[in-house]
Amino acid sequence: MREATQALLSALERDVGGIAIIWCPDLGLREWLVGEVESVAPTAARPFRTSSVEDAIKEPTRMALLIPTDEKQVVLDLDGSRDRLRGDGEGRTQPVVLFLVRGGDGQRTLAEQAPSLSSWVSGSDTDPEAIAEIDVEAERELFKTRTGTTPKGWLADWRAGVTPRDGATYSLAYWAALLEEP
Amino acid sequence: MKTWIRLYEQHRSVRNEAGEQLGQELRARLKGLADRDYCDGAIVGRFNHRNKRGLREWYIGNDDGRVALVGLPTVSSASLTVLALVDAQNHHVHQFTAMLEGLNATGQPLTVAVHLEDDRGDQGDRKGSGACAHAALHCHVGPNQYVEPKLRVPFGAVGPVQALDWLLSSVVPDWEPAPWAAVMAVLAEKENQKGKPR
Repeated sequence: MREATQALLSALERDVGGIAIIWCPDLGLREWLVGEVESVAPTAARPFRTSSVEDAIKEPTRMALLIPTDEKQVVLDLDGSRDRLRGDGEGRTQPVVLFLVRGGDGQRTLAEQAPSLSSWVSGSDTDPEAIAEIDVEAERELFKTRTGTTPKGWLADWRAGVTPRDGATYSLAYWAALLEEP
Repeated sequence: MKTWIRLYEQHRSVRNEAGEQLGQELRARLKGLADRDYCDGAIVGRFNHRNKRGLREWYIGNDDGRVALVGLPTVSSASLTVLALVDAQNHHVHQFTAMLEGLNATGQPLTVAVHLEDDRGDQGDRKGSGACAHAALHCHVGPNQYVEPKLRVPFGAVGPVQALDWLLSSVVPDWEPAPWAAVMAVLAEKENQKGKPR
């Protein structure tokens, strides 16, 4: 099963000097996802927030967290700045990370008006919250395969005090609590 | 009984104070351990979350949910587990666990664990006999969690991140988020502010 944080890291590391796109369910979660990227970024990446493509270009050795106020314009600016982003000589050593809302102006502009940029970032985009949303039935099957019983059955023993308490069983308990049938 | 009621109310409050950055702040603690070489740097990417219809679980994505800790001066064969179950919309913390397991300086088993009990369901976080013996936020310190007597030390009104800080401060050298000098400086500033005319 893919994990959200691993998918995020893969997108950030795929093209170190390029552009990564993080798809956000809505503006509220966009802010949260910016925090997620900040928290997984290596210290040496020195991430910083900006709404300006120019500011991002000026800092080739830092991870630019590009949070648009106008998604369409930012996508067009990035598309028009591909050569500058690649840089002369050594180029970027840290990616520009662009946060776009799913189904928003940025996504439409990328598809309809910035095919070169779209091609460049292909494979460097990810939707962590979509990945994080589990397939409940598949996870319940995985739980059963791993433990030999359903989450409900496992929790019954846990709550009755039958199951010994250690880090591994607490991890199973939380997983089971997430999967528990209502 | 008033003291226990007050503590229970405080424990209820801390569930709503952790905020949307809980996962990121917990990850920052794990990153701090990795930066000091107490665990593998991969922990940053292994501390993950998964969602089910508005419920979010934070966990360490290793096979047994633990991360091995190395180089601790007073605990060997150590591992750390960090878990949280939160409402993804309003960030209310339903449940939290931080657990250290290992061998103490005399080679005996040691478990230090902080638990904020799950507040969902009919009984919610009201486990055991009452708010004194089984406070909603409590810690265990002993060989393990099931040898008798099961000691549940009531915890103060701190959030999950602060509870993890406490656990780490017990075994990680120089892990002190509130040095006395800084605490006294803040208190002195508060006193200064009181004395100033409006």
